[in-house]
Amino acid sequence: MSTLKRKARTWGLIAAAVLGIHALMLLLAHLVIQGAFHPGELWTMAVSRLTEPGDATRYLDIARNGYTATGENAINLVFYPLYPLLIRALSVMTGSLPLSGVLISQISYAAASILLFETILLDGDRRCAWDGVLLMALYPFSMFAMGVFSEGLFLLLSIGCLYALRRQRYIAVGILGFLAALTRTQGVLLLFPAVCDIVSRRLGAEKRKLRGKDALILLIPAGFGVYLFINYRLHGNCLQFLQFEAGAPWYQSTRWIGENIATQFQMALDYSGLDWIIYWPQIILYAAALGVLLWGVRRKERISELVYGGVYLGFTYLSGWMISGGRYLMCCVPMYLILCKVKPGMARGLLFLGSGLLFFAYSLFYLIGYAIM
Amino acid sequence: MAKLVGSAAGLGMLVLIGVLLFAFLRQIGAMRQETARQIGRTAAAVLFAACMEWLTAALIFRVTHGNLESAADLAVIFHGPSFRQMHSALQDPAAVSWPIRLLAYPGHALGKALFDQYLLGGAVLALILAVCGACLITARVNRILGRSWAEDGLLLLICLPCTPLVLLPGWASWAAFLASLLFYFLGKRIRPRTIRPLSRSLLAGLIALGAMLSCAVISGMTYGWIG
Repeated sequence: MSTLKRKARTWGLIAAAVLGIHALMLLLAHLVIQGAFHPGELWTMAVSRLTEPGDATRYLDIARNGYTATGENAINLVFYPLYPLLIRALSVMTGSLPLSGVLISQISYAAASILLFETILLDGDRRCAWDGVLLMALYPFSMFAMGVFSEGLFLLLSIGCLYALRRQRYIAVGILGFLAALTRTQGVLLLFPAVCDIVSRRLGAEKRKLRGKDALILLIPAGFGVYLFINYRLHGNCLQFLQFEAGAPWYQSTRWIGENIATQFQMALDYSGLDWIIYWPQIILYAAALGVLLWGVRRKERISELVYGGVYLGFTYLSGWMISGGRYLMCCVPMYLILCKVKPGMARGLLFLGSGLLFFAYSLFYLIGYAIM
Repeated sequence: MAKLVGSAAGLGMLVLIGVLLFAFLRQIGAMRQETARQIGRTAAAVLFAACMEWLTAALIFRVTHGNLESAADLAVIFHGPSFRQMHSALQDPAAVSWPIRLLAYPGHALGKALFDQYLLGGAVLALILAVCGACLITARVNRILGRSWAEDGLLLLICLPCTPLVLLPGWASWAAFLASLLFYFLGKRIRPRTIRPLSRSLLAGLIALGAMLSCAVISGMTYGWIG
């Protein structure tokens, strides 16, 4: 079998595996809720939980009507434009905005998994690569990649950017980073690993000379600049999105991580109904991600990717009043790049078992309708 | 308890930032592998000693007060008048006179980063000064007496027993750092000596045991003096 055919077969297997896991989860949730298989009820559950909760309606509204300068939907400006733009574009063919949103998420997620596989394969073996893909698929909050959320697309663009960085394809780094910066706020953080990589190649053992193409990494902040320009065009203020985030319904602020974790800990003690849904996962995932990154430093993993992980984690947890930490950390790609190196044994077994059980539990509760955001 | 968890989380991020910075400097050759390892081992030894200090103080607090509610609040655990004075200087450096204001400002800045935990900021600053001071001393001892003396446990001898004094937020930490700096520069004049140390493992064991015991004794005496 030729190399291309072999690759195509592997990619097909990866896409089938990750999408199959999510589809299986959907089916299992339905069987648990209904007790038997009812296609109509399954479809209703899928539509309601994948296209209607939380941010999904906002993305669909932007895709339908664009950003508005006035009215109650003016606050949709806090959502970045690329994902709704793609939904609008695809809906020309599908005729349905929700369906387009789901398709973009699913296709992006499958492609992100394939890219993750190839990225890990640059340094590791196939076992590591499959482990990374499965860990991402079994991340406790990966069900958000099924529905109308930007996580799937952001994963595709950020993993693509890191892959291009490993291959020193700085044009691709710039373009993918630009698009990632137009998808989520964290996209602009891809500038950190890019700069780190160029500086370490220039000053480290390689002593590589700076080239004109290296400047293309500046496309990453340019993407964020486009978003700021949209803010300016609509409201005359580049940072209008921060004002909207500080108001209802998000009440976001920027506070030191320790203060935010302390607040979440106290909220977990005070609100027994939401503690295991929102607050404990955020606290535990923070500690876990910190531990994984420190372990990655010990293992001498790529410094640029570790820096991206650290900056991503720190930036995410600077948000005061955070209720979606679990979902945001799904896109902390360095976690998968490091954890895939866990050697076969009890630790690896426990990792997969724990991750799988949590994925099953949180997906089930999300699909039932619990306030997992 | 929430404050304790939050402090640990914030400190964890600071540690990650420091570790990533070191790893990057090592990668670009701005720091030698050996230097990075030495700093890492020193920092780990001093951090371990600091944790022991805090644990001892927290346990004393538990015995005297019957609870651990304020275990994260250094101002409560170390409640002597000297600490109240330091605490107020760290909270508001502008209210104290020069040059104490100069010493208090770095601790104030760190305390702000740890969401207004100014004593903790002072303690973190003291830790950093202790690590730097220990590295300066080790580098000079390494040159004068030879590597085995520096590596096998002199660091422990210097770090652990002195930690009650140099790790607590206060002027002692600055004094110790300046003393180590003085030793570093004056020590250039001392010629290298050839001294045969004891067998490596025996020396390391003796030094470690002596350091731990003296640390416990001095800690108890210090907290008695502070309280």
